[in-house]
Amino acid sequence: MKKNRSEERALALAVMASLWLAAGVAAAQAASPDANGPEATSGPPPGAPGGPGGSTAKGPSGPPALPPPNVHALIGSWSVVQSPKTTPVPPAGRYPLTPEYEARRAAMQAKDEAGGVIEGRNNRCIPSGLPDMQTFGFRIEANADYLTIIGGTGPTIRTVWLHRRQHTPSKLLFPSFGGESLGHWEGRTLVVDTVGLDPTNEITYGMASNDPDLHIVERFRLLSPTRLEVVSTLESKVALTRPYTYKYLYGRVQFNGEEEYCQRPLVNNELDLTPPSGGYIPPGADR
Amino acid sequence: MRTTVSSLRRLALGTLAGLACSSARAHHSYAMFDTTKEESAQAVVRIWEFSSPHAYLWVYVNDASGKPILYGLEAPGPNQLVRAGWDRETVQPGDKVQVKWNPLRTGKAGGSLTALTLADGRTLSVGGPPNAAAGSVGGPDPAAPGPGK
Repeated sequence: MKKNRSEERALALAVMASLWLAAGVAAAQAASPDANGPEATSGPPPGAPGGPGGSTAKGPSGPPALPPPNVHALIGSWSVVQSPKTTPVPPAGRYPLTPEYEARRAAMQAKDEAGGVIEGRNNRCIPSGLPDMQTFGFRIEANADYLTIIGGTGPTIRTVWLHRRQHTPSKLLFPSFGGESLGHWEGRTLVVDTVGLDPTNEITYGMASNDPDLHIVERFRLLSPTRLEVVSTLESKVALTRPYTYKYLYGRVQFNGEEEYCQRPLVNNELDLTPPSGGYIPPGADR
Repeated sequence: MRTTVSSLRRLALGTLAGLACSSARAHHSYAMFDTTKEESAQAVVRIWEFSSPHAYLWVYVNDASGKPILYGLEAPGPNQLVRAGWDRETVQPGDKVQVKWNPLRTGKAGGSLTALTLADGRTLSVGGPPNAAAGSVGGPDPAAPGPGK
């Protein structure tokens, strides 16, 4: 029974997404929506009359632009199908790191090549936070006011506000694993701007940003009902010499209801080999 | 007794299994395991923890002197295991099995479980099919619009 309802829901979402996709294509012919990456923008700027959230702006010629896609097309579970990450240490030059951070990267690489284990916050069951929380996939839920993105260790649960246009003043903003995220539509792309991230959040595995002003802009774009592209740009005056942009591709998967939490912290970055109580213990065993 | 196989094929299989196991990998790095090696041994089950986000199989393997040594073997979460044919009752305490695993790099008695052969001869791996409702993970997207759309 549960499986049939899930299948029906997936089919309904796919139909909705298909209708949206068709509408998006029509809008593309009328008013130059974003279709080719982070540099291209489309539509009225945020806050302008007829801006994202319910645009009725007309294109330069032809019929009025269609409303931007509904966030409900993004609802569902997404699993990574294409990732720029290398595990566990990115190669030299992959990130535009400052000299201090490049030295850290090099030390991590040397440790990894010597057979050591890189310590990531996940090992201690500390929530991943952004950006790491979306490395392998995530789940999106939504209502009229915000998206909820659930992913990573913890799990981390982040909120993307859809109708706010101003971040909380920095003197009132406190750090969190998911940060403060504001989303707006640019054509077919949901652009999410995040600040207020905990400085211990890792920008790459095992490397905390140590930057309370880390700024992340993500561009969520459905390529098809079952493919989601997320292009992220990190900005940090502490860790990076320039903004760093990378892309993830996710495939839609069926939500399995599996609880996500860190059940067993590692011990010295290694599997905790303390057995549970009970079970069969043969003669002669120490434990 | 344990046997070890080192090969790039093991690395590839371990990597694929890790990538398929998206939720479990999110919790910690798999760098602690040497995925270029696969060890194999006859063992007796202490206890099978069918838990999320990781399952754990605890088994005793005799060392060279015949002394039982307890190994902790981490496995993917139940949802992936079920797709691969496992369940809560796959093994019971005291069952005699053959286990395969990628060992811990430190050499301690533990690792990442890769396969299990039961007393009845059935062999279960932990990989299983990828978790995908439509299309295969990493493959072409059947729902993608065609050229010009």
